[in-house]
Amino acid sequence: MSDDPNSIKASASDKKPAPIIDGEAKIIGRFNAEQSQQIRERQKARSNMMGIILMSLCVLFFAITIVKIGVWG
Amino acid sequence: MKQALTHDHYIPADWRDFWALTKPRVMSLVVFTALCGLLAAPGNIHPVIGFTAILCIALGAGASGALNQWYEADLDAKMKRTEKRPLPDGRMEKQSALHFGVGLAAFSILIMAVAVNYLSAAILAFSIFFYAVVYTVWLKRSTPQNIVIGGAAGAFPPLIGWAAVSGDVTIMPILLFAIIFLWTPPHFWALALFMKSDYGNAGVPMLPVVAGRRTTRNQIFYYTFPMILAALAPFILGYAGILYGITAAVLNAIFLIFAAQVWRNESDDIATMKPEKRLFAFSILYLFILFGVLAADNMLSFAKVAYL
Repeated sequence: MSDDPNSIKASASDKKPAPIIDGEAKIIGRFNAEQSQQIRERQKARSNMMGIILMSLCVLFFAITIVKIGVWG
Repeated sequence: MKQALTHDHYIPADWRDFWALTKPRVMSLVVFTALCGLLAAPGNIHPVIGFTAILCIALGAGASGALNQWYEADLDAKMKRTEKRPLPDGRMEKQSALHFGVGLAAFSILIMAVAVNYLSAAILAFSIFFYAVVYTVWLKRSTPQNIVIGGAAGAFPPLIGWAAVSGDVTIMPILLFAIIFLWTPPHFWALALFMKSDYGNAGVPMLPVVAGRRTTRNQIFYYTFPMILAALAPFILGYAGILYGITAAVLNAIFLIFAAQVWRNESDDIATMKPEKRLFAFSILYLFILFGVLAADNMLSFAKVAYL
C-alpha cells in the first residue's frame, strides 16, 4: 500500500509527494515536513505582503479623503 | 505547458508569481509614459491625486498583463522567451491568474473614477479592454497586423495621465498617443525578426512569420517616417519648446539610421541580426528620453512663466 499517496508511509517517504488540490482551500492527503514547511512559508509571505498592501491602501485612501474634503487645499 | 499533476503546481503560488503576472518591465514603461503625460498636461493636480492616477494606471497595466498571460498560457509555454512565466511553468493555477487580473482591473478603474475623474477611468477601462480582449483574444492569433492595431493599447497611458490632470483630451495628448502608436510596429517587429522561430513555433502570425523578413524590414522602415512626423509634431505645432525640438530631432535621426540599417540587412541568421537588436534596444531608450524631455520641457516652461 506504499503507493497510496494518502498513506502516512508514502507521505513520509518523500518519493511521491501527496497531491494537494487547488491551493490551500481543498487540501487532501498528507505532507511531509519539508512540504508543510514550504506551504507555511508561502502562506506567511503572502499574508505579510497582503498586510503591507492593505496598510498602504489605508494610508492612501485616508490621504485621498483629506485632499477631497479640501483640508490640504 | 506542464501538467497540473506535478506536486509543485499545488503549492500555493508565491506572491512574486502574482507580481510576475503584471509584467513589471512593461509596467515601468507604462508608468513612465503616463507620468510624462501627467506632467506635460496644463493645469495642476494634487500630488496625492497624481500619485493615485499613476498607481491606477500601473494597476490597470498589471491587470492587462495578468489577463494576457491567463489567456496566452498555451502560447507562452511554446516560446523560450515566455516559458518560465508562472502559468506555463506550472507555479500557479490558471484560475488564480484570471481572478487576479479581473480583480485588479476592477479595482484600478473604480479608484480612478472615485479619486481622479470619470474620463481617465473610462479611458483606463477601455485600454484594459482593448489589450485584454481586442489585442490578446482577437488580433494576436488572427492577423499579422496584430501589433499595429494592438499598439493602441500601449499608447493610452500618456492620454490617461493627461486626462487625469486636465479632465479633457486635446490635440497634444492625441499626439502623445500617436507617437507610441506609431513607435510600436518598428519596436515589436525588430524583436519579432530575431524571435521569428519562437513566434513561428507558437503559431502566432507575426509579420516575419507570415510575410517574411524582407517585408518586415520594409515595414519597419516605412513606419519610421510617420513616427518621426508624430514625434516632431509637438514642437512644430508649438506645444513643446526648443529643448524637446532638438532632442526629438537627434533621437529621430538616430532611429532613422538604425531603421535604415535594418532595412539594408539581408541576413536570415539571428547571429548576424545586430541591426535589429540594436534598433530594438534603442527604441526603448528612444521612448524614455523623448517623453522624459517632453515632461522636462513643459516643467521648464512653467518655471519660466512663474519666474517672469
